[in-house]
Amino acid sequence: MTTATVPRTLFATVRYEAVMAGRARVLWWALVPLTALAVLLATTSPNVVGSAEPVARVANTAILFAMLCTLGVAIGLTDRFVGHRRSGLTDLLDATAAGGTVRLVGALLGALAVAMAVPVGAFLVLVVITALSAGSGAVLGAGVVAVVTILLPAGLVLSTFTALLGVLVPPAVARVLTVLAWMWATVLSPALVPIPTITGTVLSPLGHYPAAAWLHESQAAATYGLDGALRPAVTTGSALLALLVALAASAVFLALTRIRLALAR
Amino acid sequence: MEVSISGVTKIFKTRAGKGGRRVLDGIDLDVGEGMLGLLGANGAGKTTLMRLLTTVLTPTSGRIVVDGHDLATGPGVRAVKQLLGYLPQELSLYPDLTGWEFLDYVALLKGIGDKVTRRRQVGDLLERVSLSEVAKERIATYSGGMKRRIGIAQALLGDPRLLIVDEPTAGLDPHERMRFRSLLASLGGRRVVILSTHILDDVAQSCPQVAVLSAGRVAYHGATVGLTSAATGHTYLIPPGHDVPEDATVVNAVTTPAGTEYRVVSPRAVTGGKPVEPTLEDGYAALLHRSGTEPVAKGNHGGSVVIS
Repeated sequence: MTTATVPRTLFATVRYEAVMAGRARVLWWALVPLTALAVLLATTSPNVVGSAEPVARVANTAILFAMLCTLGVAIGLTDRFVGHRRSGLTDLLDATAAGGTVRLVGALLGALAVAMAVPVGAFLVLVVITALSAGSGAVLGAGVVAVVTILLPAGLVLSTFTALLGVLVPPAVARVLTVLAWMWATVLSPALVPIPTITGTVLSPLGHYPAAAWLHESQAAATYGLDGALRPAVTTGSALLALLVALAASAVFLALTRIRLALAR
Repeated sequence: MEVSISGVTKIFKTRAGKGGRRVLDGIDLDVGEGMLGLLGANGAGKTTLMRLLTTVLTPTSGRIVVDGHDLATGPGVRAVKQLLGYLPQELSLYPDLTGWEFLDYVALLKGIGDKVTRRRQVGDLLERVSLSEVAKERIATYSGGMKRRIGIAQALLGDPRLLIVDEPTAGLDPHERMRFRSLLASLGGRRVVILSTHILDDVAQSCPQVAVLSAGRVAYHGATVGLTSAATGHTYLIPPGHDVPEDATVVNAVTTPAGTEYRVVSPRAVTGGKPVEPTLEDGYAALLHRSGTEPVAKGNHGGSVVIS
């Protein structure tokens, strides 16, 4: 594959995977109710509306959306890559000049772009309302930071994770495992359950560290009030580390998916 | 344009591990421009050979050269992909895309970047396979024949000089098959077309040259009429009431009010049987009969096979 064909392949797969994802009913069945629930909780929950500080309110809203909506995104996208194992289609696409890895990345980005548009759109509407009611333009900036550092990384990690599961086990099983894994990584802290979890650590993909570092959330919210090597003090460095971990985990999940698809030839 | 296959062996690893499964065994085949029919029983290695030619698989040993490009090299593979059109045996299309979108997508992946060229090609091909009217409808609503036609249309994108179609008419009704044969015949030009099929009639109608694979080896390669002649003098109609010899291959059986009439290929004269002119099916049966009882012969370019 030449360097000239990489952008074209990426463009083609992003474009048409976005079209296909947008036409898949399961995505909307999973995503719309969870987004509606996130909006409802963001406008009624004391944890969110109770925040006197508007930027912290944006952070809490983003965390809420990341927790609920990315789950909807992932459930909706679980079987997106199963299509890459369709009978004959893999051979056909492999026989073109387009590389398999670029096609896979394009497929992920295209599907994710469509799926994330709904929660990101709803979130930004709430951010605008918050900015208007607070009379602060800084809230809009905080909203953009929250999208980039909380919502998108969470969506990326969970989508690549569920995509990997989707090519390993049947989609229904993959969806159940995805929900369980997400709970384990973002909700169930060791204070709640008698098993080790990564909730409240820099390994958790929920975005608490960036929220605490850049969006006025508290250190206690990031670490769930616990200590340990994986729960360093909130700083710009630890927030960047959390983002780096999320990106690295996504890359690993995607690479494993690619290997699994290649082995399935 | 020529495809040269020399000494190609393909062994698939098995879970048991020892030795693996030898699907192709030292294939030698030179294919020039025009249409070549590729015949063989299930498991003979046809699809594996096609997947090797399309660069989807790599051979365990041996060499494949397409138009001077060696498939053992990265540049060779890239060059051949630019020449290639491929219709796999089973092709599950994206049901959520329309026919037009699917072709546009494949055209982009094939490297047809110019929008005007791409649209023109997609439009022309949809016209050619008579799907223009449903081009904006989702593939999920297409019949099996329509999906197959979309499949051949995508294979023709980019005007490939090497066209590989694997069992393109399987599952099509007679009308669709005739339409498909006409389409293939109309391609012409300076390209190599390799048509793998179980349907001998497709080969008889479309392919001047034929290669037969048997147990991973080339049992015959030559003129299609030459394969037919393999059964010359060995094809009989056995009327009801007469026995079919044990060593004969039954090509056809017709039930009549008087009993069953058999068409057989037999290595020796059949008592009560009436000698008839062979068809391609008879020739193929004769060849496979021979292949099953003797070591497989190398390609017979002279175009005749004599059964013992």
